[in-house]
Amino acid sequence: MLLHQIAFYVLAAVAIASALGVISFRSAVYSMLSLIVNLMSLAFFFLMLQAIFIGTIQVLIYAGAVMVLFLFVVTMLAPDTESVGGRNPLRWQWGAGIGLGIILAGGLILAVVNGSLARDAHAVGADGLARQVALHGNVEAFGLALFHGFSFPFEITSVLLVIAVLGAVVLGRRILGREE
Amino acid sequence: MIVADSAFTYTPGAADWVRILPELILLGAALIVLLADLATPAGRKGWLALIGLLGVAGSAIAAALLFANGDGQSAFFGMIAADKAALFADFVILLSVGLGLLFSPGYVERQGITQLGEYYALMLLAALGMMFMASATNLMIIFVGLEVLSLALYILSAYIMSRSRSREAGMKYFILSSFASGFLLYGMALTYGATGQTNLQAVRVFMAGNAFHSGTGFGPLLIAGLALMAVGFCFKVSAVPFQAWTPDVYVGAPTSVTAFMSVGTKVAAFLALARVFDVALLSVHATWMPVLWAVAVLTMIGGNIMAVTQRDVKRMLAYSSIANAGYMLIAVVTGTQDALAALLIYLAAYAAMNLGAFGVALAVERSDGTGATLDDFAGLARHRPALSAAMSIFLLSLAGVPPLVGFWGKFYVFQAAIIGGHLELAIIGVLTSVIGMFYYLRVVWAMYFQEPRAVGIPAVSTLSVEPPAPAAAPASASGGGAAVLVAEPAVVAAPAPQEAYQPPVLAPGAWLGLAFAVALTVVLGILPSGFVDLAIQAAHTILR
Amino acid sequence: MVAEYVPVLILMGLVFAFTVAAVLVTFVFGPKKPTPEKLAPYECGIQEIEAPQQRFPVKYLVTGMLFIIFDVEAASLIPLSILMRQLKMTGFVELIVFAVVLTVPFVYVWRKGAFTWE
Repeated sequence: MLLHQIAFYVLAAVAIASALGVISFRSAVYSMLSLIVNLMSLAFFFLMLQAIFIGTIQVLIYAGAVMVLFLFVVTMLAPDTESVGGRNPLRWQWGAGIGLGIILAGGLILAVVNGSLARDAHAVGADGLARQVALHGNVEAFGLALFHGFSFPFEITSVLLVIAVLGAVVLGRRILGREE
Repeated sequence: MIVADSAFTYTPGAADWVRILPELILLGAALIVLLADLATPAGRKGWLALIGLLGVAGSAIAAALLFANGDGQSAFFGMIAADKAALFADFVILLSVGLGLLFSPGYVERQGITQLGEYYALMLLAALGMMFMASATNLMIIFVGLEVLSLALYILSAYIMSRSRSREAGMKYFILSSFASGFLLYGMALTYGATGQTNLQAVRVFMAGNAFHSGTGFGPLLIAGLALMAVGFCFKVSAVPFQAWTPDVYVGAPTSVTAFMSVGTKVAAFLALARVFDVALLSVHATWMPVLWAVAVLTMIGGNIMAVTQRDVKRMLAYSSIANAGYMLIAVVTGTQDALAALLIYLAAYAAMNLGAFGVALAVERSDGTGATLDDFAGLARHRPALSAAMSIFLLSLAGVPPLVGFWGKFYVFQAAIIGGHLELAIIGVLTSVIGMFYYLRVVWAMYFQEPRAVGIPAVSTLSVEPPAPAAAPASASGGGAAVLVAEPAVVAAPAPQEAYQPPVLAPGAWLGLAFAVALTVVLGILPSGFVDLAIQAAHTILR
Repeated sequence: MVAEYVPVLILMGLVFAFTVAAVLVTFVFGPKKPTPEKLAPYECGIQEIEAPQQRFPVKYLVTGMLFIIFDVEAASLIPLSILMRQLKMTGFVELIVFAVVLTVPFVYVWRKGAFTWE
């Protein structure tokens, strides 16, 4: 249990640090690399929660395919990273954004300290999932939920993918300058 | 109450597929459009619009049959509702995408839009996402539906590749809207964390069975979730202070897309907002009400005041759509059954008149996307009497003049607010409607009582949003004529003065669409009882 | 439960150790005769002709985007493949709907020539 906790805190520190890196690096390439680190640490969180399938997919698709494509595009299309940034004309927005972020973080910490997370009584779905995992196995339980109760979101994800394909073709053709 | 284990054994049956028949037909139409595009030669892409329209009509018939005969149960493990409210919303969405498709063929040709297969398919898929979102009874489906519609609209907004304003619209919409989606998703995740449910009915049951304290238990988490969801939804309905993207996107996007999305996204987002806040989380009404109340007031005042200063009619209509979101928010804040019926009535009325108004703006627009300023509308009644008459009807309806349909929308919303104990919102609504009267009627005044304006080279003079030449002060009806005389020499002296602006000839589809919108605006305005009854029936089912 | 994955963990450790060792060994024992050209990034012994800071045409971008989309599709079918026998008809119907919806744009982009590389 102790090991588990140490792992959690280390991962949490990495996740937060890399998330801060995403928004504070001037160079888009560094931001992208810290985003990969961030997604990897999220994948490890999933693994710690025994969600092995989700963790694997997170690494394969997000940290792997998607981010690598992003990285290629960023390095190919905008190599002169120094041009990003400069004087920020909307400095007050920084202040406002940081202030609101701190309020949100404070509220969430209040929720953790003062609220229900200690009791953990409401996570109906999580309890059911744990039971099913014990019954069927990990990926099987995930698949059973996906193809039974959650079949509809699964099906309409295909519509989302159709739109993504069309978008890739419409916008991609623009990039290539190959219009009909 | 949904037992967690049943999620692993539930099996969708034929009845589930029947309940989403309208959506299935629309999806089929979109896929057929794509395949048909491969077989259609370049000059004949109008057929694709026809296929799309047939799909929309089939979907509307299915929705009507389900409205009359369906069992109103939700389908697929409580994911999506086929209740009357959802079907009513489907109808309004189908009306808006149908009119959008009717306006398209002539317009896309004039604007030089290529890749029409994707264009029509994306229109239909965006409408599909709207229908999913409006019918969703699960936070997950609300989000996926929202992403379906948003993703399609990002692409459509940036569709006129050669025009920087269109690219800017797509980019702006994409970045800001993705950010807002993030807020919404975070809020949903926290709400799930607080209640352990994503199903809205289950959230409602949970809220009824568990004492809510804002400081302890699941309270803080739920409040954070509520706040973040409110931010996400307010962005999507373009409420003040989350409205900044609206004018730029509405002006930059192809007008046929703007017409459709200004109505469709509102229907989808408001139905989802009503289902989340007025159904699932009604028991914490006192907690979220002040926030949405303030947003509603800000939206009504801000939208109307900013609309007054606009000289571009499309931009004015964008701000007017912000103002209208404020009136619709009144209904959500009130949250009673009457208010939800009023919301549906308002949405339907808004669909007819707003699509019509954008349809006229689209008809007047030049091939470079300019030409919808007040100056272009000046004296339009001389050479385009029918178009001007239609525009006047839409604008008077938007202003809330009886006996047009817009009046009934405002009437029922304000009535529901007064009965529901929000007299102050009704008063603010009436007062801001008076401001609205001014900028709507200014366009009518320009069309009928101003001289046609000689306009210089459009690329030079009308690309900016600001008035191109010293313009007549439209507020002073008596001084107007003199101002025109003063203004005239300056314009004539412009480098290459053209003839008074002649809008292009309308395609038959656009005529049909405008005629349909006029008919709806007038007939539903004179005989509102039938559709008001339908809306009341529909609102009954949403609060069941 | 997690114990099943211990071999994977051991493999990961071995891979990591081998990589570090391989780099270290060549670094320590390899002969070094540095010149400025060799120390430059992407050294190949030749002086650079022009700065590499310029835009490249990204022809493969569309291909890459399409790959990711179908990658996501394939990933979501992994649980289905595991459960195919158990799900019987339900799973089959769901698979068919999902696949048909995605086959149409696939045919579309294929016929439109998005996969050709000219």
